[in-house]
Amino acid sequence: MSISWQIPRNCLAWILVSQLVLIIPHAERLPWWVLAAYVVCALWRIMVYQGRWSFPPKSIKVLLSLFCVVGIYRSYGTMIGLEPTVALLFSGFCLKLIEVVNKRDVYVIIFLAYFVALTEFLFSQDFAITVLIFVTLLIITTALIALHQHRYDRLDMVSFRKALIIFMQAVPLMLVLFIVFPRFDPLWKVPLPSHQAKTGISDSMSPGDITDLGQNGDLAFRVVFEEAVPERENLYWRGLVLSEFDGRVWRQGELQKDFMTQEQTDNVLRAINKPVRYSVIQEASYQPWLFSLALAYSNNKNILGVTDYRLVYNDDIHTRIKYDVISDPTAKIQLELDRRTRRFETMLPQDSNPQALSFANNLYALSDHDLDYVYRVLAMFREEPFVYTLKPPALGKHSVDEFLFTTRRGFCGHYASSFVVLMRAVGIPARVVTGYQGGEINPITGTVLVHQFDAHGWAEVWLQGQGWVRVDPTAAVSPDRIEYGLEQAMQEEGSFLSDAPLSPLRYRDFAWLNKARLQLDAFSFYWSSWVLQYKGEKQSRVLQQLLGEVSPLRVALFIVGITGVVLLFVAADLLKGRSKPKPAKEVQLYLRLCKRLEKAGYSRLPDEGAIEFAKRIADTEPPWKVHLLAATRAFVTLSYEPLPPEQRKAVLKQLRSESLRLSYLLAIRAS
Amino acid sequence: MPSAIRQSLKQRYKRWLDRRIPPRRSITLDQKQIFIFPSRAGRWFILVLFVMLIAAINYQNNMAFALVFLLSSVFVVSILHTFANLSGLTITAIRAAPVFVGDDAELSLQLTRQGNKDYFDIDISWPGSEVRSVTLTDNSEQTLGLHLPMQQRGWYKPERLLIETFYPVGLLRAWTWLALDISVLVYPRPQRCKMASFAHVESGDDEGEVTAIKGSDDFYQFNAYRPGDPLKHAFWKSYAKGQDLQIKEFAAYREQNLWLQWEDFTGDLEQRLSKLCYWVLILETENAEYGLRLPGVEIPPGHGELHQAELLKTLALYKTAEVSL
Repeated sequence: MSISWQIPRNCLAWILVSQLVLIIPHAERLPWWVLAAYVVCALWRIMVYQGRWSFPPKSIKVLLSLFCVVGIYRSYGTMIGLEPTVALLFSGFCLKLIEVVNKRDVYVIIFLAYFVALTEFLFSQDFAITVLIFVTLLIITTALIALHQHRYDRLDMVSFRKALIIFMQAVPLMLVLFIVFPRFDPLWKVPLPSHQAKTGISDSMSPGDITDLGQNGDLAFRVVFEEAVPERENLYWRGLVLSEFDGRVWRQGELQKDFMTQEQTDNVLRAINKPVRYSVIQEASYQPWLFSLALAYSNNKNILGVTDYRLVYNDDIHTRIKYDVISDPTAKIQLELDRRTRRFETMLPQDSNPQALSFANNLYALSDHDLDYVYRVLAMFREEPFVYTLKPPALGKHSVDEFLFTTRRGFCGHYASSFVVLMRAVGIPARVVTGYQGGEINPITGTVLVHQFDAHGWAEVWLQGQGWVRVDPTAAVSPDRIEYGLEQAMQEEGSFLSDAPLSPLRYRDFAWLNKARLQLDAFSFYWSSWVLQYKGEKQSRVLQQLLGEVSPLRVALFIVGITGVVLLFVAADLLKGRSKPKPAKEVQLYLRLCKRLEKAGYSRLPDEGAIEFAKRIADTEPPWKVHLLAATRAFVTLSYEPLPPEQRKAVLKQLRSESLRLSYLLAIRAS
Repeated sequence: MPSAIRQSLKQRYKRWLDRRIPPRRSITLDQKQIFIFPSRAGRWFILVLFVMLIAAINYQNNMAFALVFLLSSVFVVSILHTFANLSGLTITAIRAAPVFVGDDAELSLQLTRQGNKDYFDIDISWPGSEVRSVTLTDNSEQTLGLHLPMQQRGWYKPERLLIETFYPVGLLRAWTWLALDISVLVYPRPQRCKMASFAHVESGDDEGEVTAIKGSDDFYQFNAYRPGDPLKHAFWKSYAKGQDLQIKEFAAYREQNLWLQWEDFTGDLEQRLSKLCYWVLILETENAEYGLRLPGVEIPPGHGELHQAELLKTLALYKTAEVSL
């Protein structure tokens, strides 16, 4: 490549556009100074492009590179991992901008752009993001094409159109490959997105925690039941079991880290008599918790059972995952409790919440048996003036005492926490369970949508002969919460999603908006289950249907067949050339004018010359006369007289302006 | 030995190419002539695709798969697009004016497109010439001249013409090596030298001495007609009698009858030819009548562009293998 080689200006313009579009989805993840470096580089490049500045000296380039590397290290504390890698790729991509000297550099920058586009999918594969990324690919490819179309100066649509044509021709091949290509197991372990904020319920619960989620309209997971959806009040999605209490915060205890043995797992499966089968499609939460109805079993090999009868994933959930679960909500859980577990599930901290303890002992003394005591506590919640609210007052050290006897305003966590303390105070094994309750049924897909605001906390008590029994003290205070959901329960307070004014969930009262929201959700669901989860069994089923029998020969024939047909059409289109040459510019203009005149009621006779035609109209329509005659004369001159190019251009301009004026007059007449 | 093998391979390739694309004056490109293969950038692109595919597999990310498949399909489809950017193009060799050794010869070509198809960024070059990039979108044909340095006198037949394109995506290179039926006559490089005396007195012919008298229109002798002789001096009377056309020669038209002779110059073959060439040019500008005498070749005196060209051609081809051209 010679030194004088210059990057074509249209190519550079397209590269700048593609980078700008690439930044949009990545912007939230990148540290601000990577964006700043990009802005500096892009502006500098634009100044060079306009010929005002020259390329930066080497010292500045080195400085900027150092700035990026140090910055990335400072922001992430490491250079290994997905986010630092993306940030590094991105800054390399920006810096390359100010040292594009030869053609090879342009290729490097464009290949980098493709790669950066790919990394976005590692964070999100939503339909909207997918569309955006594919549009970005189109723009990057346009830049690549512009590199080989020297003659255009700016953002020229010729390159874009070519890219669009190539893409449209490529799509059928892409689909064939997508359907056929086997989805191998990962070849090695790769860094996953790590610096994401964990979403959803956390592994501890202090008063007021779940209220934050009450304001969040994001989807937590979807559930597809194989048969009828159970009653809403029975949809308790268990996520975490919290047994350790320090007087204020509930945490997972040691026992909750024990995974089930194979034998225990088999016992769970055996205990299921009336199975409810369903699949959960869970959004990325960056935590390992899974959500299922009571007594759950899953044969997924990435899913483990824990001894408190819930399921966890063997890794943090970085992308949307799907798992099948079998549950039996009627089954009795853990009829025998060993001493260690019993002690663990009745422990309370010393010198904490003394008022509650003495209250509990007094109440227990009045009760006939454990179950009676449970009922009495629930009756207390129901009859005393307790308020269910998303805006509870702050609580101090003895949170349960303060809540039970002073503030009496709380969210589900407050009720669950104080209930369990009251149980443990008299030696009944009890624990807090957090997860989600309820969900919304999308009538289009029949799936249950569980949102973050469905997050809930309740209690489980162990009763002799019954095993672990679910008790939800919130239901005693606010039955609406369980039967109709949070929105209904908070109707008076008006605090539902009050921090998310734009959430479409707030506007469910507008029928069409709600319908649109549910349709969007249905689309997102099918997108996820058919496109994003297309692999394994689903893939072999589709292939079976398409090919009859999945053999290498048939797969090869399928690929070659479709590819061949597509390429044949493409080749036929490309190689024949445009058979019909476009008429000259002036003919196009004149014909357009004739069409307009025809609409106004003047059609040209087959044997009528252009000038005669114009004169005929001019006789009956004097206001058009000047423009019509001028336009016609220009057309005739252009068609029949050889003119030097300069003059030709001038006459063409005249024809254009005269026919524009005439069209204006015609339009006025028509209206 | 490897170099010997390479040589023999090169020879074989050349022979194969000669059979496949024989020399012609005008060639329309089709699948017989066009070769296509991933370019350097294209090979890198395949590597990048491969890395992306591994990322897609490792992350089990279906949209990443889709992206990789889309880009691979773009690659496949652009094979056709790149091919189409050469296919149907007609290349015609127009002409090449004679030049002197050491100068650049301009070889003119004409590119004509097929129908209304647009062609972008087609690079055309001969080995050793500059590269010209041609885009055919507005006009249906374009003429271009490529410059090649000439190092040897005689007929120069350029090597095969390279026509290549990377359009539209640069990942593929479509090219062809065309043998165009075009050749350049290369005259010896003129070399300035002094000349003691011309053999216009001692011509060595037995025509004797002729004194040129300026302004005289005395009849001198009859000569057989040669193309280029002025017809107003034709001796029509004898022609009418059925004899060959004869020209009346007048002394005034033979101001100087000079012979450029091999023996009058010193140096080796090339040097002598260069010096002769120099004097041919000088004498023509001085409007002299001059002839050329080389061992085995003799061109009688005359003058005019055609005469000069004949002499220069004789000098150019003297003792080269391709005199017959």
